[in-house]
Amino acid sequence: MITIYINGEPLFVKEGSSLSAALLNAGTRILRATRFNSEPRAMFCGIGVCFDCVVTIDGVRNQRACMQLCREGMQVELS
Amino acid sequence: MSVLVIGGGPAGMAAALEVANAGVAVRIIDNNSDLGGQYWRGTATPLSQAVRAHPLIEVTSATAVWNVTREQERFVVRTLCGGVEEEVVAEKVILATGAYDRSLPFPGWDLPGVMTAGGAQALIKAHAQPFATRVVVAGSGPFLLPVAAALIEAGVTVHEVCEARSPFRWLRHLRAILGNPARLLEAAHYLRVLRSHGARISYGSRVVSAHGERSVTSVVIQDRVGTHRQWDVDGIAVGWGFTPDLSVAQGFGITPTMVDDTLVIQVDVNQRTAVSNVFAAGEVTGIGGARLSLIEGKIAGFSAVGKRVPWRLRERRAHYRFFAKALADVYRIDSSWQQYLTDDTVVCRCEEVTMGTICQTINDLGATDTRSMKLLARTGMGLCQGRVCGQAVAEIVANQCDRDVKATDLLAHRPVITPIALGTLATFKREERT
Repeated sequence: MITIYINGEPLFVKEGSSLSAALLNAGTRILRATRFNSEPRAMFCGIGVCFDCVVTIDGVRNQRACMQLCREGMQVELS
Repeated sequence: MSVLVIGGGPAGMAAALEVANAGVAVRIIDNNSDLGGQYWRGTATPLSQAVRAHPLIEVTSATAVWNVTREQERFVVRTLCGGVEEEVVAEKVILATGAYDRSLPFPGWDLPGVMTAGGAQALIKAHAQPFATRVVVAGSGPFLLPVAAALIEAGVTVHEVCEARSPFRWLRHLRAILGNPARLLEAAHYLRVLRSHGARISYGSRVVSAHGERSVTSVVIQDRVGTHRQWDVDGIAVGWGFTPDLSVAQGFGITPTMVDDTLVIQVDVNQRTAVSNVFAAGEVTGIGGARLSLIEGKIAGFSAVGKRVPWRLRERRAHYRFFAKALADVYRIDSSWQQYLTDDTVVCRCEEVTMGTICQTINDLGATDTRSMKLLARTGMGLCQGRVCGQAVAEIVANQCDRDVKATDLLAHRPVITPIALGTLATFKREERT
């Protein structure tokens, strides 16, 4: 297991897990609020096509949670 | 000679192996973290092991192609990996970029907990992670059954599987079924899994709406005779078949064509595209399944190195293409899904454009084609660049304007294939090549 940080809080996840799978496993489904109407969004296509699962990882915005594998110490910001 | 294979799924791997076995160096660029594409997501196979072991094959994962240009006799492919650009030059290219779920909007489809069938399965295949605990699987196509079965085997409660088409449509394609008995056995297996679980299977049924506050909590289904029923759920997996991922192909100057209501890359029997030295194999030439993808990949590999294609491969290709055509007819999607849209239904998810706005744009602003719709209402302008909403918007506009969908409704030349940060562009240094 490795440690990643979600909005500063530590979370233990399986190494090799995608970020979205790890978050789902930990009970977190909602990843962001939409730009115009602040509607909650979660993973939709799961394979990197829809960009609905975008979160900020290590300061870089618009990273698809379904495509990123968890890394030790990864800092994730969910809006 | 340098060969580049774009896409590391069944077709791409099969192509690369044939090229390498002919003694030619080949590179595979794939945007996933591991080889296998969708079909073999999270699974090592003899093919992927052979690909990794071959000294002439170089695999570059987690890398996307964002731009393609042609310089004299070579293609210059700009790739992006973790915010770093790399330029790859190749004389011959094999496109095996696969396909993704076809999405059609319905009220509440943007609620957390609603996923594509492919996405639900990807989570199970790669991470043994269920996307919800109580679900309905809906849409159309043979893919719904293995997804429902996989969910059940992962401990999920599947209330119902709703197939929009009638199974009697198969009666028009008996030759296809009789020629592919393994498919029938496979379907029977999935139906057994569903039956033992107590999942209801209905035909001529569809999801009408999804409901919930911040996450889906219930789904309304309309059955064959028009009756509505509701299930308590925390997830809905919706699948309407697949559509080829054409974005990279268009970067090579290929114009996709409409075949059986789907835009595909047209290839000849040697997997050549209309652009010389560019080949295409797998789902990107038409949805046909993994077996066909492997065959097409092999043929493309042979063609790229100028070797004669064995007759057996040609025969199998024709065989699987025949079955794929039957499948496409049985599960053809009509326009009836549009009648369930309300003014509030989000159609373009990225830009949050509703059906109401789309209709207003057609009626008040005179947008009668998808390009005008995009420019006026922003459909297709978000991060996904129309991959999810493009087909739906095209069909809505065509339907509202009382005409058929044309290929031009679905084609858009996008020089930036995948999002790239300006900072990344700015720091790119082209190396001097001799």
